[in-house]
Amino acid sequence: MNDDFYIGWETSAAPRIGKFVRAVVLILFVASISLALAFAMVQRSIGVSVFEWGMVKNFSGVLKLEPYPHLLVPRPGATGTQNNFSTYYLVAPFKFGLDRKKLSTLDGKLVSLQGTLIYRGNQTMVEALPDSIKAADAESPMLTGEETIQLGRQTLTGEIVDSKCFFGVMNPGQLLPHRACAIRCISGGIPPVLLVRQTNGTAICLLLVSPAGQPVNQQVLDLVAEPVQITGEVERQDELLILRADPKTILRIK
Amino acid sequence: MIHPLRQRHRHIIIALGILLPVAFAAGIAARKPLPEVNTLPDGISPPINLFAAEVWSREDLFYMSPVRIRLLREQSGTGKFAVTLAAAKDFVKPELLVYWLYGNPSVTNALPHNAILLGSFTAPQLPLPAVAEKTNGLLVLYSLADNQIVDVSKPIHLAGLSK
Repeated sequence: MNDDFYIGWETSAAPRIGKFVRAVVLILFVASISLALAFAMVQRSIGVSVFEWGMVKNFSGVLKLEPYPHLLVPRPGATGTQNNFSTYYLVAPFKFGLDRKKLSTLDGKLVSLQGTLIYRGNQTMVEALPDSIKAADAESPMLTGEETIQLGRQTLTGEIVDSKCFFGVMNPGQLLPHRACAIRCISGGIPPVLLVRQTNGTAICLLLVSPAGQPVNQQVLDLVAEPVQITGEVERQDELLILRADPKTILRIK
Repeated sequence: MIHPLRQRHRHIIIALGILLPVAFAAGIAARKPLPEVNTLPDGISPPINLFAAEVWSREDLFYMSPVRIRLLREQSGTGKFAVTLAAAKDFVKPELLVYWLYGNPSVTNALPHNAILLGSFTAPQLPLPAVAEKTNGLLVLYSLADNQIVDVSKPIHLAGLSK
């Protein structure tokens, strides 16, 4: 019969117990390290996005307030065969969108502003300092490239994310771990976008608005960060893809 | 008195040691799959590839940036040219645009006035201007949001390829 008995206050354990514990600890140590590495390696990449926190830069372009505030920045050297403008989403600091009423007198005008860049892939956003947005002295450039191209009625499957976090302020700014933050951001006026992922690893973002082109922030809060299917009219304004859909028709995918 | 307690403790630890990993694995397996689509509807997806023939592919043309350039042509040996640029995922610049600059000028900090916009770095194909087929030129990577030249390529010669 094995009479070995572990006594906590003894200097050393009984030989058989000590040998057994050492072996178990070694095995657990190796197994836990291996499992942790294996688990980390099979995780999805969170993507590369940048928030240039603390770096305030100057920007100028044509301010557009519909459907959400954005800045159209003329591209030098454009020959008319491509988009003549780059589009930067504009938001306020923290979890807020810009106040469109306060900026209404500047809609369609050339403005200068200060802000912090947020970017991911070909999506660019500026966290603007609201008081820095001022009419520029120069005349606004001709918005020749700003015509809207209708892309028809489409059904798209994806996830509603808050654009500010997803474009770079939080990483990963998507999926359920980020749901609470996304709801707070969207309720504060950050533009909601439908993130449509493709199996080849790329993704597109469509700005989500009502059929009349109005913000739908409050109506989509319950659907944020979950797989959804949305049917609506898609249009392109320069590089901005817009999805006009009735929030009541958004389907949550089970 | 202590022996039954130790036995119970051992049983609990063994049960937790089995159940917790199983519960964790079950939780991972039960996650909803990410919604992904194979193809985007017409109009939303990038335009059909017009430049089907690859002329060459090089990774050494930019001095500082790990960018692969593929020179494409409408058809093998004939037609207009285009380039496709690709880089590692961590090569991210704000609003990165691609320009063609004919000749072999010295580019410093500012974008030259005669630079011709080809399009966004992320565009699937960037058609080259007709002038590129007659004279040498450079590709310039320019960050519009930073108002900064990111990189300039070595000279690219298309004249010998044109027919």
